[in-house]
Amino acid sequence: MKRLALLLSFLTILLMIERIQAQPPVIVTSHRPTPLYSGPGITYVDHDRLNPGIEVQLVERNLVGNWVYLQRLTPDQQIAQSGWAQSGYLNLPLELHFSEIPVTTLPDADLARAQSQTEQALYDVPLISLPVETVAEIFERGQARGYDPHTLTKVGDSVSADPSYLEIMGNPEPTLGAYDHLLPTLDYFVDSATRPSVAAKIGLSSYVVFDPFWADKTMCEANESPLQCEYRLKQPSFAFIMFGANDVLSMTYEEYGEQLEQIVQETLAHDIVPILSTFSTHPEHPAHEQALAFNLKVLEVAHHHDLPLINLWSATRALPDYGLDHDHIHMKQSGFNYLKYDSGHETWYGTSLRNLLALTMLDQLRHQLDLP
Amino acid sequence: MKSWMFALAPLLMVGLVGCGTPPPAQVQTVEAYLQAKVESDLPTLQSLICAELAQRAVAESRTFATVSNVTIQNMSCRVDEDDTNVTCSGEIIAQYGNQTTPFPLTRYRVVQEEGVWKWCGES
Repeated sequence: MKRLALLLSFLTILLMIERIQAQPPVIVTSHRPTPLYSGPGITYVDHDRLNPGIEVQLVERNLVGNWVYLQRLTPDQQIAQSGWAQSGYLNLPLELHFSEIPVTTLPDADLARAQSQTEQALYDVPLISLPVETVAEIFERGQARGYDPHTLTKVGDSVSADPSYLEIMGNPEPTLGAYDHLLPTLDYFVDSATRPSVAAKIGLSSYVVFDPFWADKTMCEANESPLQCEYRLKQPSFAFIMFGANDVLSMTYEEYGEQLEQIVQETLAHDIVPILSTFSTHPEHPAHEQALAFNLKVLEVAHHHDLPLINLWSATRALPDYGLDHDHIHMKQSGFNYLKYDSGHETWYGTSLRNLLALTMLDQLRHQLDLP
Repeated sequence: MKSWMFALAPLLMVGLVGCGTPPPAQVQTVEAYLQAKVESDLPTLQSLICAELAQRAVAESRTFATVSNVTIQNMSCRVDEDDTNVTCSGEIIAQYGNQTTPFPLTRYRVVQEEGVWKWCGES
């Protein structure tokens, strides 16, 4: 009996290998000269160029899917050219599904090649971090309170208040392209994602998110801060939290840390899963150094509480102008008012990439928490 | 003619006195508090905030740190019948980039501490 089971397992494995081998390779071309890196990020060595029109095989991807590993083989199956490229440089075939492409084990950055210790620390955290056990505990407590697992919210300044962040998910006909595995997750969260947040507002900082003066008087109670009000109104299971753009101009490093800590504690006190995010900065911004320090603080707070984190700073380093608009504060938009991932927007526009990272985080959460 | 003027004088006097009547102390407190908030005037805010909320004074002074051109428009406050609440109309206007953000004034609680009215949050 034992032998039979062993034999069956062996045959199953053989069949699986055969199926994998039988799958035709995914062939892509680039639509412009494409830098090839030795890993999935710009800190890796930029060692080659892929010319437009040259057919290459797409072999691997990073967790998000915005970086892919390419190989060009000679007729005798030798590797003629290989390297990592940003997906947005490529003509991806319609039949490509990133769900069928293996995810690399390479880290998102080559720390040895970071420009400074600060950058090294910032690159040291993956684009998506999800400490499953802590999240599951907070989530379960929220469920015990009766929170809807489909409900999320956003907390932040104008960069987050922008309807093109999360709210855009509800707009008709999203085009996910090769990221179509994210569609069930989009459907799962779409209703709450489309609702604006009273805790995401133009001019808001991590200070005034506690100030009742900034609360929407048509929805919030007397003496209720925007944060308390939003949590009471929506009772979300998850809160995407990002501050920094306004804070760098009006707060010290210590104050920012204190406020971020307070926001996290308030969120945890409500049994809501806080999802922190670093923010993009531009080296030409007058407070760039301060912004880097603030981002380090975000990592520190997330690490201290073992919280999920989106490393937007790291992800946007590869984008033109770091994914930012002319003001070096707000994220650049594609101009499309629906999610569009069939033409490489995630490689060119900060808002597109940020939404993709948020969706990927939600997808990971949904799978790790066994949400249907 | 003269007698007519004499008859009108008391009315004019009453009117003038009425113009000079200071608003109730509660209203003065709230209006001064809002003005200090707009100006990020921490010492004044500390002197006008109630003991219960004293620790919030610094945060109160930073309400408008991220916006510019902050002004109060059409502020008009009156004491409610219960004497411990002041209802204000009007709004604070602030600018962020090209965008104007209004902060409508609302109803505020006042408490008396050692004979002085203090602002004590919204009500």
